Amino acid sequence: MKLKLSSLLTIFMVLIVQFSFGQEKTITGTVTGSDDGLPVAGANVIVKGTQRGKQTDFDGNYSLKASVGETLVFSFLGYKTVEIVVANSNTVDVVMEADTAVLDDVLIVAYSEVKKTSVTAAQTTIKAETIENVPIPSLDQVLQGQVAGLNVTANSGEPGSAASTIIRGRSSFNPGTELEPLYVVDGTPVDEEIFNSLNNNDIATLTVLKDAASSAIYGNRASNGVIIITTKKGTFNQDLSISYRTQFGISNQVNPQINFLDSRQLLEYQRAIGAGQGANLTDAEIDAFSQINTDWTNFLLRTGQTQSHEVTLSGGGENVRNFTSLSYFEQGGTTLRSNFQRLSLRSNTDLKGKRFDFSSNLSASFTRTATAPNANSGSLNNPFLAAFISLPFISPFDANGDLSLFGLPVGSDGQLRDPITGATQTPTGFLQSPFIAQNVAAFDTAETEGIRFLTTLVGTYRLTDKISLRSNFGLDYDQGNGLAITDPRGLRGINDTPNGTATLGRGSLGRNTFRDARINWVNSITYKNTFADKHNLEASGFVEYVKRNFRSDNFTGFGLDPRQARSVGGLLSGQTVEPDMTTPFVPVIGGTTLDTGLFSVFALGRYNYDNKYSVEASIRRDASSRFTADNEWGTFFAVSGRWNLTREAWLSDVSWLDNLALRVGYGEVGNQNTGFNNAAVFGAITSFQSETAIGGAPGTTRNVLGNSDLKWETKKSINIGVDYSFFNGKLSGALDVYQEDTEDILVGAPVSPAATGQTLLNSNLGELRNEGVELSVTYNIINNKNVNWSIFANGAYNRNEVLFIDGSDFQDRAGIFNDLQVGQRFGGLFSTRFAGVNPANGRPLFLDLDGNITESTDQANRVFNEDKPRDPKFNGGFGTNFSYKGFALTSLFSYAAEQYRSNGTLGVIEDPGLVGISNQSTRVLRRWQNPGDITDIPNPAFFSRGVAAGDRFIEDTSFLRLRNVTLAYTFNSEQLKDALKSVRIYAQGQNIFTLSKWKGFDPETSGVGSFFDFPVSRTFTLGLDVNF
Amino acid sequence: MKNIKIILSVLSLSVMLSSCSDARDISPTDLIPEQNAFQTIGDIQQGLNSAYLRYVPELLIQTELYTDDFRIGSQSGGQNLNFLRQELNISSVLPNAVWLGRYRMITDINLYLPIAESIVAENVQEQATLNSIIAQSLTLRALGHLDLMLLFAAGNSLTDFDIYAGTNLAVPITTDVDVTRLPSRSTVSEVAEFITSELDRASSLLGNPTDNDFITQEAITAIRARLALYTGDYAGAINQANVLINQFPLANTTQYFNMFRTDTDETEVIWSLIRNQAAGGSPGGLFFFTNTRGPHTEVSNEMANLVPMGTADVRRSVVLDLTTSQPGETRVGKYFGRPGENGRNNIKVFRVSEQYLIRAEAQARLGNLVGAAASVSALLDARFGTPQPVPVYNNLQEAIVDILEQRRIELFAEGHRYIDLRRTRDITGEGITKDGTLGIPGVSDDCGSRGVNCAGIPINDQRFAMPIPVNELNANPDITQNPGY
Repeated sequence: MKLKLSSLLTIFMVLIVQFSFGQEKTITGTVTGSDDGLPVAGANVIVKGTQRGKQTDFDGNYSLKASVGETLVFSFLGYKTVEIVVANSNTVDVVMEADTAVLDDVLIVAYSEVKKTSVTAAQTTIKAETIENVPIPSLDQVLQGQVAGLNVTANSGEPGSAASTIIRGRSSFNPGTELEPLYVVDGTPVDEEIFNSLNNNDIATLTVLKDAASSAIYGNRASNGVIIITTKKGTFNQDLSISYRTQFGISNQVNPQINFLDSRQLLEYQRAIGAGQGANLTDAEIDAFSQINTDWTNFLLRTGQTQSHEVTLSGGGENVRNFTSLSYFEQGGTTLRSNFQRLSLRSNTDLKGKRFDFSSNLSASFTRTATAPNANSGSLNNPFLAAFISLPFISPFDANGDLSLFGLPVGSDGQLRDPITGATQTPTGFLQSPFIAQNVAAFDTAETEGIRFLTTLVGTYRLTDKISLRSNFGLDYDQGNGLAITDPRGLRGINDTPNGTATLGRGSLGRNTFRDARINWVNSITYKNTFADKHNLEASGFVEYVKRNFRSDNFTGFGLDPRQARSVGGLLSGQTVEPDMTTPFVPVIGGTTLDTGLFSVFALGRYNYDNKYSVEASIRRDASSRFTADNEWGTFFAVSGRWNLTREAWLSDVSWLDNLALRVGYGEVGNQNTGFNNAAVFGAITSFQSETAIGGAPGTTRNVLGNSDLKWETKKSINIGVDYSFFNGKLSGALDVYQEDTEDILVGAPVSPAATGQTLLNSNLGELRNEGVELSVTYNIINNKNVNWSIFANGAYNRNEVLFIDGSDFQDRAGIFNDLQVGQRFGGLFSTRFAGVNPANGRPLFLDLDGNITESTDQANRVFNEDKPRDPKFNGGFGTNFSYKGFALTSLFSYAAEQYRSNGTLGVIEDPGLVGISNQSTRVLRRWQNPGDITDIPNPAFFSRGVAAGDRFIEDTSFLRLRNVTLAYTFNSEQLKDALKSVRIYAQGQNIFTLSKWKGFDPETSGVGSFFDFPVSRTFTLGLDVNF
Repeated sequence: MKNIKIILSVLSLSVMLSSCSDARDISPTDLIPEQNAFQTIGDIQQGLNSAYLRYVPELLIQTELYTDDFRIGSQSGGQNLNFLRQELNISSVLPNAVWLGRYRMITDINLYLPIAESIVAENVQEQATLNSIIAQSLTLRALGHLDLMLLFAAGNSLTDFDIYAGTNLAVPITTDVDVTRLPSRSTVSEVAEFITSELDRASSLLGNPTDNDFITQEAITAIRARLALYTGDYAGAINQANVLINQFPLANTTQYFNMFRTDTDETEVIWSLIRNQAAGGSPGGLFFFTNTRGPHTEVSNEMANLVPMGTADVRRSVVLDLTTSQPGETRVGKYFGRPGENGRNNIKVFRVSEQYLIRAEAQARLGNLVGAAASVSALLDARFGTPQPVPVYNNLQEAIVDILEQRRIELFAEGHRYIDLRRTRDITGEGITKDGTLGIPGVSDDCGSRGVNCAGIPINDQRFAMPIPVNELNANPDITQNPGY
């Protein structure tokens, strides 16, 4: 009977099929996930063998036309693909099964995209969720702790400032920005400066290409790694959806781990060492003068405010989709005047044709940055300097009890007076520092307005279903308009600008305008085919043209009419002559014109067998404008492979093993970026420049002696990695080990000054090795309908070693962490070793080369200290994501271990030579005073700063920081009675706490030394996301 | 349709290929390629103008900060402390800066001089201009070598005080630019011969220019006088000094004050190196903040006491800034600055008063103590404005000690004190001493507080010669270091 029935049914079916064949109907349905039963948004639904397809909406719903008998293919990353033959029903609901074994995730990689299971190289992808809504305007800073092997440090806490990002250690001897990875946004190469103009919420994915196998195809620009960013797209066949996001918050200063002397302590200390205002005071006088005890941080530092608003529109039709966002972001810095504003918009459109597809990604932003006065410097304008050094016994108020912006009390002679000694003070002298910092912030201006357009146009033409042509044109236009005003009514204007004596006009106004236009055009042809269902082949050829045009102009004029203080028209003529016949108002002008270019041809091939074995190879020839004709071409290549072990029959029975893949790659990449300035760009030729010579006469002098042999630096990198997933996806991650040798590193090879008049000649000589291990782990503790809880961690170990310098074993270069020694770490400390204080006489002690105690500060006793590198030996991050129904809690900790930095700030506030002009740290109270005292603070009489202090002020900046924690609740459409799709409210904190031994605000900033720098702040925000 | 698209694609590819040279071959806009730099006499003149810009006497003036002439100023933020603490080693800023700076000027000249020599002048006038440029270039190059020798030449041991003995090591002689050359040090006599022959040729080509802002025949003579005195050619020193003494009167007291304060008197100036707004440079900035005049470095009490309050010596008002010094301060007055230009005066590279002291010292060293006293006396009379008692020297040491003191006062902050102390140790028997008993302890003392100790520099200390700096040692294994470093 059973058989009969089925036969009947079959016949019936055949009839129906015959009847319905060719009749298109509309199929609707809902796609849900088997793991949590929640709708799957953005799943692809396509009719097999056709171009017809849709994506599910936020509720998992879809609707498309298909005929009975056609097969619908449902796919979505992380789920097993489902195929369903269209039958009679007009509704097809699908439950998709989570696929932890084979993640059919498509990743954007260099110049193309690839299935996650075919990735042959070391790369990490971050999704939008981890970037969205973090109230840091510069995307690169958001990445700290998120990717194994990525060392991200803030350059400054100034809102909007870029981070310093180093992937897998320093690959070259060049300091600074030349170590930044190449950033590619939607196919267009940019630099890290772009990030404060991008809205983080527009980012869809971010992929870090770490090894040469993945990055070699970027050839000459990839030796520091590549970060590929894609922005969000609309969804085809989806109604317009609108969302609004907003955030409000505050930022304040992290507590410094330094305590300062109060007025009494300082005066008594001064008396004890016989220097400064307290030198000759009686007890009674100290009592009297200690009545004023000012904590200057209260006046110089502040709480900054953050707010953001954003409207997003997204949707699409059959052949067109669009994503548009408009956002405003504002963040106030934690000191006077510091503020960042950004208005940004983006419109990403995709058009689909029968054979021709076209995409345009357009973004534009307007930023305005008001900077704190001279942060990170020794200028008395610097509020962070003033906050540290200002003397506590000076009152911040004037005689009327108002906050004083002009300083110390004025004596009957009109001169400013030291409140204790009565000595006259110059209006912009040291004792005035807290007033100068406040005054400059109040009167003077230093701001930059930025306009940035980043546009990418991509056209793809499918010549056949296997061959396609593609043209990708990118334009990155960056304009900056700086304005610097020294107001004639401010302290600096009244006293210093243009000089001490000008009578006809005071103050200055300067403008600095630059534009930086980068054009990038890539044309390519791709062949893609699958043979016998198992052999997947892809081959592409490319031609790329890159050009950068940089122009800048600046001027500073003098003598500013206070009523027209923001106007160039308010300036005096440069020809104005003072009564004393001087001409202090002559404007200062300057400018730069600099072009660079690159022309490249390259090819990429991929082969994949049955999703089991993947092989990838690339080769690239680059020609750079920076080198002479003999050396301009460089050839770079990579080969890499992947073996998905779990696809092998002999492993398929191991039930707890979902996925295990082995990756091996080798590649050679180049580096031509030795700086973007005339000397670096044209270092291959001997050149001269005109200058203003003796007495103002025109002069001609050398710029640099050229080295016509200059060529590419080459990095050879090998990477072995494992991707794993165990226990039904509960435990997953990746492990990578690498070794990278950079050769032909550009070093300033010492040349005899006596023979050449210069100390260095740039030459390709150095060799450097980086080795490391990276591990990332995610563990899903609970994963069910109501509760999701996972923890994740990543960590990286890196060590580098100088293999070759220039033939000599050692090179003394400016800066304590910058010296080179063969066999040592690049970025390791090279210094004499402070060994405490001689109990007998209080003199600082040092170790000589043999480790014996000596009082000598002889620089010949400097040694490399492998254990005190500037870059961390270990760094990474960890955190947890927890959700229960509508609640979600996420956290991210970042850490860096075994990294060191010079605390120049501490050097100043423990310098007895400065005791009359700078407050001191309470550590001086435990200084050596009497024979037999055991202490680490020397007798003030024998104190030495700078190199003579050895490594006394080199401090451990290892830190553990709660980088981000967010608590959110999401109301779904049900709760909202369908009035809205969803509403999410959340509270978020950045840098909530930091554990570190560092004595100062912030262990994190990227330089080798801290000198009154702008620390990263602690930020709390409340946010609201509404989806209409 | 399909074909059109293929054609378009091929077309765009070919456009890119043709534009590839546009991306690869880019010439600098802000720089002048070597082959375009020096083509005309005008270009060569520009090269010379730049060479003058790189002759920086301030570097010599800074050597005085190592001596007993200065102390920490009331507005010090740590400026010059390493000098005042007498920290001098291969990594110190100054020896590196002097070495690099002088050789930079020398090699800059070497870059254009062969081109200048090969230019064929079209007429007599052009030839004279070209000759003058060559002569000035040769002179600057010789002077550069002299300055280096005066600082870096040293005896074979720390107790060999005859530092400018002919066989001692001086500095490398450089007449070309060669990145592969690793020069070794020539001897004092080799350098002296080189300087002399260069000056001879310069003198023959120079003509007779009168603008003392630039090299003149008289400046060449002044260089010869210095060289002669220091290298022991005392008769030659007297001869050269006499040439200049006969040509230039000494300034009277008013002229002397105006010479330094306002740059308005050049009675006794042989070569005045321009410091002005256009080219920048404020020698006063070595001692005070030029915006506020706040002193970070002041005249030592010991030095100030040599021109005490009440003295008729006009040099008091030049050594010290009596105009803006606050009570307790001894601000440096020599580079007070012209009106409206704090700290900016022309630098008097050579003045005739130095020639009186050169002559006096040479006379004394030749045993003519009376002649020496007369030379000093002439200078004293001019500085006090009234006849002063003629000094009496009973022996060479007395003469040298007195001449040294006069040099200290007369040539204060003109770059001599360090060299003078180092080359007269054999006679004075003294190193550099500092006196901690003067001034208010911790506030205005010469030493004894704020990390400046009173040890001074002992007579046989290596710091009496500049070390061959690290920037040369790094590149050049063939260079010999001075004893003690």
